[in-house]
Amino acid sequence: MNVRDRARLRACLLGAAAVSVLAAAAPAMAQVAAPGEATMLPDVIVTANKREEHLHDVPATVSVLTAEILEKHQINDARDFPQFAPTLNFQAADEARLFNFSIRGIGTEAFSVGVEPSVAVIVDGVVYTRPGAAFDGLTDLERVEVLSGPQGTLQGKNASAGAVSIVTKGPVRDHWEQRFEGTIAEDNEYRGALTFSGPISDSVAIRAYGYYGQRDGKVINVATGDTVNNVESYGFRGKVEWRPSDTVTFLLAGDVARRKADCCGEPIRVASATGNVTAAFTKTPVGPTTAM
Amino acid sequence: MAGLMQNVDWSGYRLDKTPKAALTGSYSHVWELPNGGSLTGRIATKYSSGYLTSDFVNALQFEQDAFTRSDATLTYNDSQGRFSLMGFVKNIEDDLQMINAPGNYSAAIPNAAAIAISEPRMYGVRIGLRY
Repeated sequence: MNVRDRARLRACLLGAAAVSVLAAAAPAMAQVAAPGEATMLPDVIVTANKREEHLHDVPATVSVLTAEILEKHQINDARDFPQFAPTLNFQAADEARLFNFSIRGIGTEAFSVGVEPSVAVIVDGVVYTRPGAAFDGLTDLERVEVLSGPQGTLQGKNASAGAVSIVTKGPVRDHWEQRFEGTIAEDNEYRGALTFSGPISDSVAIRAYGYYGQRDGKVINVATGDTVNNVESYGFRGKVEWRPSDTVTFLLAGDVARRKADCCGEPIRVASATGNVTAAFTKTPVGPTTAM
Repeated sequence: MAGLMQNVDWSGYRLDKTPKAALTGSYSHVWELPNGGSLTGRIATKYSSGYLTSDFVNALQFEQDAFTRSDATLTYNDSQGRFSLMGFVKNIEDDLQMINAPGNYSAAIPNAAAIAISEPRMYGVRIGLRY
C-alpha cells in the first residue's frame, strides 16, 4: 500500500513537472484554466511516523511548515515556529541546554545536563538532548513538523509532551547550487551561512553547509562596560547521498557544532524608585498555599 | 513553606502555561516591480489568551495577561531569485511576557524574584545570495 502510494506520488510529481514546463513554454496559456479543472490543494507529505505519508493519513496532531512556506514566510529561525504552531511556546536562552519548548503547556522546568526535555527536538531523526544545539544552524530547512501531545517511542524515549521534528535539506541531484545567507541585527548580532550542493557523479550527490553566528548579551557589566551572556556559535553539516538504483538510496550525514555561551550573568536587582518592578509582572499570586 | 517536596493539593487549579485560546495569522502582499523583481511585505501575529505559571516551591500561581505578539518583514527579491534583501522587526509591540514562574519569589521582599521574560523588540536585515 505504502509502496503504491509512493509510486502514485512520484507520478504526481512528474505530472506537476510536466505542467510547469508547459506553463513556462506558453505563459499566456497558463493563465486560462482548463474547463472542468478543479483547484487542488498541494499534497503535504510528512515523516511523523518515520516514513513519508500524507498529512491526513497520520493519526496525530501535526503542524507542518513545508519548504515552500518556510521560504515564502522567510522563517529562518526556530524562534519563529510558535508563530505558526499555536500549541507551541518557546523560551530562548543563552546556553544550549536551557532552551525550552513547551507544547500545550507541558514542558520541562528543571534543567541540567542530565535532564532530557519532555518536548523532543529532533533534527534529521536524531534527538538533541540539548535543544539549543538545534537552533544555531537552521537556515537550510526542508520541513518542520510540530507534533502535539504525547508521542510514541518512535520519537525517542522522551517525547511525552510532543516533538519538534526538523528535517534539513538533502543533496541536489540535477545541478550545482551555492547559497550565502547573512544576517545583521541589533546587539551586534552577525550570522552567516554558506551552502554547496550538487551531483559529483550520476549516482552520488553531496551537500555541505557551514555557519557562524555571534551576538552580544543584553546584560552589561557596569564595572568593565562589557556585555555578558554573549553567544558565539559555529558548525558544519555534510550529507552524501548515493543512489545506486532507483529504488535504493544510501545517505551518510554528519554534523559538528560548537556554541560558546558566556552564560547566565544575572542583573543585580536594586529597589526601584517607582515601586515593585517584579510585581508589575507577577501581580498577586494565588495557589494552594494562599487558599489555605 | 508549602514546599516542592511536600504534598500540595493542586486540584481545581489550572494547568501551567496553557492559554485557553491561541490564534496565529499572517498576511503577505507581493508587489511586482518594473525591473522584474518583487517586494514582499508580510505581517504575522499571534494572539494568546492569559495563562498561569506555577511556582512549585512556594505553591503559587502567577498570571500572565492576554497578549499579541507580531512580526513584520519586507523582502526584496530580484527577478532571477539570486539576490534577496530583507528587513525584519520582531515583537513590534515591544511587550514582555512572563514565560516562567518567578524564581526566588518572596511576598515580603519586593524585587527579589527573577522572572524569565520573552525577548524584546528586535530589528535586523538579512541578505541572501544564490548562484
